Amino acid sequence: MTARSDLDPTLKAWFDDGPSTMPDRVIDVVAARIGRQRQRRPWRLHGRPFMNTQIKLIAAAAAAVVLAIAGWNLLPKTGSFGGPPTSTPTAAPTAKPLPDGTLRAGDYILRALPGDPMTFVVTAPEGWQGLGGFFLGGPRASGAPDGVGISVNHDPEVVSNPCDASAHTPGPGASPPSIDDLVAAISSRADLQVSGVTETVLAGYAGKRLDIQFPVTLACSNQYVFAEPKGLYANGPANRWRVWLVDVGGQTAVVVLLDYAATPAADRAAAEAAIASIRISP
Amino acid sequence: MDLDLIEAAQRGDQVAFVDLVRSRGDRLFAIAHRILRDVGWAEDALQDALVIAWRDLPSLRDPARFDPWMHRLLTNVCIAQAGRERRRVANLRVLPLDGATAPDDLLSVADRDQLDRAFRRLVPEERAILVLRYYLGYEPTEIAEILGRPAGTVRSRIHHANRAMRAAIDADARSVVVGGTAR
Repeated sequence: MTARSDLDPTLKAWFDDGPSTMPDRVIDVVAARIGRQRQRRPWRLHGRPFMNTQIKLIAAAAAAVVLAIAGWNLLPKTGSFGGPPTSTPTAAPTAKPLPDGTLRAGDYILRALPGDPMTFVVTAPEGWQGLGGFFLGGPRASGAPDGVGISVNHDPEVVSNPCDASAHTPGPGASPPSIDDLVAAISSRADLQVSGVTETVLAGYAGKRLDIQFPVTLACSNQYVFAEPKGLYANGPANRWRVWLVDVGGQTAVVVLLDYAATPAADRAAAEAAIASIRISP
Repeated sequence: MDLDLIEAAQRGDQVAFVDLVRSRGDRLFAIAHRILRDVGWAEDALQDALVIAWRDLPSLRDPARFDPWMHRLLTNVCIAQAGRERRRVANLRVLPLDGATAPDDLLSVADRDQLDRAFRRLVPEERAILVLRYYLGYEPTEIAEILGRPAGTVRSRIHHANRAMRAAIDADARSVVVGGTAR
């Protein structure tokens, strides 16, 4: 082969020779996922194919005024133009920072910590609860016996002593752990049942997914998995977590779905749909 | 072209979208597999691309352009995934060749092995360009539209990818001859 001067027919033959049948399970997975995924409707004016130039100019001027007012209102009200830089918004333009309290259905920006560059835009269902900018609680909150919640995080440390959120692996100042390291550290915890470690893709990013079952009797009031300052702990006895750890440009983004055996299926499905809607920006 | 299915799916008809997936799934899976060279990754990429397609389908202005639009979505998802997997398996262990193998019509097993190794060394966008060019038969201008790159850039990338494949194959052959094993 290496003696051939023209690679084209070789490449064509090589590409033609390979698996060409989609596995049936792809259909099943896609059918299930689109059942939870709303379509995005474009912002187009139907039935108005014609606008004369004058109307276009007026519309453009009006849009410019609106944008200028909106931009002015977004400027810091205290401090000067030379003040400290703010993080660049990378989320969808219609998304709002997650407030505390009961939410209207819509897109919200979650961050592990205030000011974090990494953002998670989630389409939250009506009536869910925002907490701390990083946590979505379900309609029955996230506590036992039937709550549900979603938490986001990135580059976490796994707590080695579940009752001490400052004792973690690797130690402070060390390089962030890899996804495999995180899975190994979680799996080594004797207080957790870890299962279902699998390759996954979330928001277009590849990584691993695993399930954690907390004990019926928690070792302490806050039984941690991830260390502070981005800590996360069981929200109640027998809490179940589904954890996504995905590689976002070398950082590990973490999304956790927390629920219980008695969580209503509809709430769980709503949480899964919200997670399927996530868009992550590093 | 299943325009009725596409338009129904644009209006939110999930059954129509699944029918679309059935009609095009084999081809799309083959594209993903050619770029990623792994069945599992190809499945993941295809699933993600199809869910994105479902989400964004209402924004497709011309239903007749569904196929190139879908190819663009899938290619971009594959490029992103290939980039991540490439970092993860950067030190891929390559098994030694056994020397001459039984030839088939055009490519022997050793040929395919060489091509596979060379292809995996390309950057993800070059892999995608070769698949679009030689598997799907797109012209450079069409590839440029799919990837959102200038046509000149695409031509240059095709040339570079071909040269890189050739160089990798030659280097691979030399390493087999000199060392008895590949890296």
